[in-house]
Amino acid sequence: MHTSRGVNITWNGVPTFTQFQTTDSFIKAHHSDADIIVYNGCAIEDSMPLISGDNLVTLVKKGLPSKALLREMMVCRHSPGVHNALCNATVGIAGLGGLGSHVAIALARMGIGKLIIADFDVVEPTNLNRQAYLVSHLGCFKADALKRQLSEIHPYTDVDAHVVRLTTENTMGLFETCDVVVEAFDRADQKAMLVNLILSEGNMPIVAASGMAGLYSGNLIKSKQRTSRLFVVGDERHEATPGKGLMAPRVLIAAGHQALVVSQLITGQLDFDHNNDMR
Amino acid sequence: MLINGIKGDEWLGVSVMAYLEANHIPKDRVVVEVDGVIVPSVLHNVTFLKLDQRVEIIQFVGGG
Repeated sequence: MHTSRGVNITWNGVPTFTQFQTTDSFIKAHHSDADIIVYNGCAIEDSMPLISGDNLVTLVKKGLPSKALLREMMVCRHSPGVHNALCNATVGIAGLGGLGSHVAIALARMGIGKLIIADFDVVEPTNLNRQAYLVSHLGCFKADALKRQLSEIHPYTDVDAHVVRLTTENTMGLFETCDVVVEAFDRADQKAMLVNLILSEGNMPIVAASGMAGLYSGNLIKSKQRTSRLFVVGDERHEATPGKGLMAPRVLIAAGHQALVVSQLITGQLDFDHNNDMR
Repeated sequence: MLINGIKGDEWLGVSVMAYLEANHIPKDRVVVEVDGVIVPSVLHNVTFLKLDQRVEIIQFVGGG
């Protein structure tokens, strides 16, 4: 029996019919200077057989891919459902210190659609031990420095940066369009103020953090659902005190938990229930 | 009555303010939710814990 030898694949986001049977032969003909090959979401070095439905991305290492191609790479890595949910979502981040700066970066890397970030403060030398800033940012407003940095990480994330001290008067107006709000303040009374405000006046979930100082085990830091819209990350115990300050490892663990819970909420993949049992 | 998921009937009739003071929880660092509704700190002294309520008390510590 005679069978057609051609296959229908997606190449750099474009539906493509080809007679080539392998990734190597296809790339040699179509993009011979490509040095990164992503085959169905996974970077490959060896040639793979081409089958209808395959997704192939070919890139050169230097240079920013187009928005469409970067999107295609993200769809491929995250699956279309997850990517669409993330790129249509808006997340508010209150406070851009050790938690907020790293949560923003993780969400931008995920291809989040829009970030609304707010902090009144400037970057100063003691921030460099745990916050995602550089020496070149010293003296700059954190909101501006982070926005610049995010544009170097995922240039197609829309970043709305506000240099402002958040209060009970201005917070809801700033975050009203957000699907999720992240509490990333330093002071406990500010944390409680924001959570009380979002839970009483907003309708979106809030992912807060409490307890990440010192060098205690990272395994003590957990994500918990405390009420229908309140998620708390941390060990809920270890406050910054003299000799047991805030240090990068545990702050980054907590920020990672927060970014993960936000991603789970947006994609509907939360895997623990109200009693904090794993589903 | 459940307080943070644990049976707490010994606190029946006690105000939120008295509960927080007895447990050394600073009122400006806490979120109190009773049956899904936030109790603002100005109402802590006039909100009394009742039978069959589900109370969540979340105390924050500093750092970020």
